Amino acid sequence: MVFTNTGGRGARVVTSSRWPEEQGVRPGLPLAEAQLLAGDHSPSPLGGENFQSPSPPWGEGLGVRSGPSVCPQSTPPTHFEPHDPAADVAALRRLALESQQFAPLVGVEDADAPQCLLLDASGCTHLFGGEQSFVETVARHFRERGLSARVALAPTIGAAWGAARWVARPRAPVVVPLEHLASLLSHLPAAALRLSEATVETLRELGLHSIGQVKQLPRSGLPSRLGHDVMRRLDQAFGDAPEVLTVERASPPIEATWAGEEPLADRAMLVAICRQLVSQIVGQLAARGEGVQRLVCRAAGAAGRRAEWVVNLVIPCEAAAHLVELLRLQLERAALPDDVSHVSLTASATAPLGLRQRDLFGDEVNPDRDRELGALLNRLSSRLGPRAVLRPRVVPDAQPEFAAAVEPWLESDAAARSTAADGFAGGTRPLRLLTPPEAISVRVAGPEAVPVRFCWQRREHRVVRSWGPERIETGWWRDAHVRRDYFRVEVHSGHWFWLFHCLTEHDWFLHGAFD
Amino acid sequence: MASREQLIETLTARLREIERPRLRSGRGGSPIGLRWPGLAGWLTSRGIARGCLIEWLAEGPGAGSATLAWLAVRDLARHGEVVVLLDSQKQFFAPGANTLGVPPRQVVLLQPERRDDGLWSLEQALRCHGVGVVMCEVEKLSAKQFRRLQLAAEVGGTWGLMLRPASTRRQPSWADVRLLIEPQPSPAVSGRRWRLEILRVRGAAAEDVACVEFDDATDGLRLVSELAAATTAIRAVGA
Repeated sequence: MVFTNTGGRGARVVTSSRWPEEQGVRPGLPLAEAQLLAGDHSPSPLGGENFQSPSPPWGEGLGVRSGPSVCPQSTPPTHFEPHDPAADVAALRRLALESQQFAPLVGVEDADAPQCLLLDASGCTHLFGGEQSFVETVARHFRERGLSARVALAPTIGAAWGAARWVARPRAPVVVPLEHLASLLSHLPAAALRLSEATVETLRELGLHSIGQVKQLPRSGLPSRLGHDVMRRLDQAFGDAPEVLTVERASPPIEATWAGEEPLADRAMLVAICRQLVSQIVGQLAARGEGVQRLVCRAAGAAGRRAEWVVNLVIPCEAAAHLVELLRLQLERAALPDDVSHVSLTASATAPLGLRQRDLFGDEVNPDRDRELGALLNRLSSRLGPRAVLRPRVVPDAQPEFAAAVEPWLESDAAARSTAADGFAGGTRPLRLLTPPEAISVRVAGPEAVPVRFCWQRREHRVVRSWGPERIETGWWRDAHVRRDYFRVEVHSGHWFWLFHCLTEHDWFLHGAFD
Repeated sequence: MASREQLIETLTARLREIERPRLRSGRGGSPIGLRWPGLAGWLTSRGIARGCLIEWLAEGPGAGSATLAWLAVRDLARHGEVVVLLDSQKQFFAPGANTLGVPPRQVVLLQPERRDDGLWSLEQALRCHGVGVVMCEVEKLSAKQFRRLQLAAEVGGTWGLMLRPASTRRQPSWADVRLLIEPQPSPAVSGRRWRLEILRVRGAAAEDVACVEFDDATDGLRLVSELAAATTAIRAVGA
């Protein structure tokens, strides 16, 4: 996996997983060079997990095109993705919430592209057996999560930030005691002051490379020459000025519960209670300007029996009536505990209403149609189950069994929907595919073994015209190696079928019909 | 005392009024109706209007009725109409739709496990204003179920395309258009030929037969000449 960013100088690598890194892919490398390094490697037996996938996943939006559809033998195993800074920040926020196990106050650094988590460890370290063992625990936690983190503990945020970047190593966390603060800071480079690139550049031009040198400048001249930022950051680093930590807080779950003394008599009562609870939830969400994306309903009986239903929505919804209807569709068919006395509803996923997904089909925006259709998809998924409401997709794979894919509407996201490739330049394909292919007996003629007669469903079909063979062959790294000759045939009744001759086993199969 | 001609005219007008598809959806008429590219004038002049059920009767897999149905839907799908496909047998092959020029991303595929779920979802989809076309294969359908589907299509302003076996020809039908499709051996090198018989078109004397051919190379349907001369345009179901 390689993430790339399109800047002023064309697409460049932002970061990559380990395998491409071993091939020499480094951050900042132009995309074309990275593709050369990580892309066109012919599979080696020790190549890792990338080679095992039946169809190599491909980047769509990067101008990366898949190889010929006949046989994916030469297709590179590396997956290129555009860099998504917003997703980075969101992931860092989640890490911040997770890090609350070490300290109660955790925040993300205040920067355009934050890379740092800030933990206020005051009064926490003794719980971990001292400062050194605290930083080691934190470092070990991230290492076990598969993340490479540099950890530093210092008396000020500025000093910890600089020490984490320039002193600490992934396996060697650093603790800076108060008495060493001044000496550490004066040796750190000027960039450790968290200044803009332009300011750091100016300092460099002035010959000021370390914080110590900047500190020695007369304070009165600093703001007018270098801006107020330098002074503020300098004071913050040495602890002469306060710095505020913006703490990440998980938003409280949106919940509504009902508990009755008498157990519920029937389903209609349960639906009525759900209606009340839904209106409470929608009311709470309205204040935030959000809609429900997933609703979990739990019912508990007196004897401790429990049941749970989940309603997933294609687009966030704020309409109570629609939510109640979706719940009712599930409740109607579910087995209820006999004596429900406790019902709770939780909106376990919510999304801002204003921030609608691009559009359901990735074409021109059509909000009315999408609202109606979203409601329909919600209803269908609620009653039939999410695995029955699907979005078909054509996959550029030569083997027909893998050439079509489906994914549940509830799980496919808007971005994937819009970039889904429809352009498959394969041969003529039937509308009906039999899975698995049905074995048939075929009589062939001529040196090319063209089918002339076959038997299917107790009926003999005489072939009057045929097109083929179309040879389909897959590579040796697939589980089952496939080598087939496909024929499109017209039989005497005018019906069209799709047959193939399996060249490895010398059997004939009917694989589809041109309905 | 009205003359005989006047009486006939009044009765004809009333009959036309009764037979006209009643669109209850209040949904604006589509700029294009459901029709086959290349077959202008045959069956309908302006295309089949919204809110109609169309039955495609054909014998067995491979007869090509779905190919004809997808070709009729193709332009609508390309104009952004959503196609809901009920695929109870789980045999729909998306590359096949792609071959015919229908973008698979416009398709919502439903694969319910139970038959009554299938009928329920058909009705829901037909009733939805966000849907353009609903396509399905149904064999058994009671008159009551059929009527429900037809009303749902009228309310939703959707086209309902029902692919059914030819054996259902004698069964009662609420479809606005019924077509019988018989594949024909084609003498040409490429191309595929069918005999199309109109069993019913609401609001018109039906019973017309045509022979049409689809050519991969030109990507269009055309009437085959020897039978085409006998056909007349029926302006019935147009909105």
